[in-house]
Amino acid sequence: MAARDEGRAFVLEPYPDRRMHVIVLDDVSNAAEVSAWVRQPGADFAAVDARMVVGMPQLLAAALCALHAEQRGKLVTHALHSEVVYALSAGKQINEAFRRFGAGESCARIVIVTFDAGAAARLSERILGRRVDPLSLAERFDEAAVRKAYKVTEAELRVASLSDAIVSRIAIQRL
Amino acid sequence: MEPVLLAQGAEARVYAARLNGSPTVVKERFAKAYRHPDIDYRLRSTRMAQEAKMLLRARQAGVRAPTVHFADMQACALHLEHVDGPTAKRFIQERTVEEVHAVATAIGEAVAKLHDADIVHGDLTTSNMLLRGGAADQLVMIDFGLGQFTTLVKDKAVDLYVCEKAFLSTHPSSDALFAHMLDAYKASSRHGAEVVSHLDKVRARGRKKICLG
Ligand SMILES: Nc1ncnc2c1ncn2[C@@H]1O[C@H](COP(=O)(O)OP(=O)(O)O)[C@@H](O)[C@H]1O
Ligand SMILES: [Mg+2]
Repeated sequence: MAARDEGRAFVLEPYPDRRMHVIVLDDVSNAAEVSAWVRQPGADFAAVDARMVVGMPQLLAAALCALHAEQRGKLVTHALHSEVVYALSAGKQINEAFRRFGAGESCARIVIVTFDAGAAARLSERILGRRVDPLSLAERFDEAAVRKAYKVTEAELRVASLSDAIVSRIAIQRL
Repeated sequence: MEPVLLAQGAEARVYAARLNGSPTVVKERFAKAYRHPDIDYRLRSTRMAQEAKMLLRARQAGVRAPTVHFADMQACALHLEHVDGPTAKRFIQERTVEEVHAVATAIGEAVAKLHDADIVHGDLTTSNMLLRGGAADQLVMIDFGLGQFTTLVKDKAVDLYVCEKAFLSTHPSSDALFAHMLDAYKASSRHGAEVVSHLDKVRARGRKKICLG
């Protein structure tokens, strides 16, 4: 029997007993279904629009914030997986975070983030699309949309990478 | 593995760590037993938040500052990018006259950018500046714990005054070096001339009458 496909797993050092599973899919044909599943109460994964993701550091930063909020009993969205989407945003507005970063019904490139290996295995079978390496996220994102969402200026990009600019914003979102 | 302590101040300790595969430093504002726990926590978390926001604002103004990787609100600890390189203090002590000159220029220009963005650093010592990779043109500002937003010329002049005092007490016979730094500041800040002329007044009044904290 082939090993079940749980996507790529990442460890977040402050939470060594958790695994963040990441699955990136291109040419997704059932995004409407994915978007319906993720909206159900108790959803065990987050679905992010890949156009808004510039690389793994951004996802790791958001996941870390979500776990930290959970540990402190301060989940703004009241659930860990939706909190990852919220944590991706630079601002505190929940609706805006989901509108910008959540994978919509017609989203063709989706990033699945989950702390549940079973969910990762289930979704890798049910989402119809072409699998790509999470490390390739950095090669294809919508730079204009990303810079607008995070309000990154030219002056800042002269002294920091776009990824670092974003990570800083995610880290201080709630402060 | 024991964390490596890099610095221990009155308010915070800084140690080397790693996060998500990158080298980091953790700046933890530790609890003070003599304060009421609630007040203590509020103070530490507010200062941590203030510093983190200032680090981002500095970058937005075009000044190098470490990436903030994570703000631990439990421990009041900021996980920052580890900037690999000497402090400006050590750089000035060890490098050639030309290199030191170049750093003074870089400091003047960086402070000008901060002030033009209405940010005063609050603690402009040469220990709060790092040179990434030991390069004179890679000045990184750190330690914004006393930073604040202000449009007042007088606050900016006090920022320079603190810098001058720190320069002169840390680096013997650095008058010329500081003057060079000021020239660079004046040349690149929008209100450089005005702030520097206010610095003369601040000097005249001396340290005593100025609230530095
Ligand atoms: N991001 C960093 N990268 C490398 N070294 C750092 C960093 N932040 C602080 N340090 C080191 O730790 C020292 C103390 O940090 P600082 O933020 O200035 O704390 P304090 O408020 O106690 O002065 C610095 O002088 C520097 O040597
Ligand atoms: Mg310091």
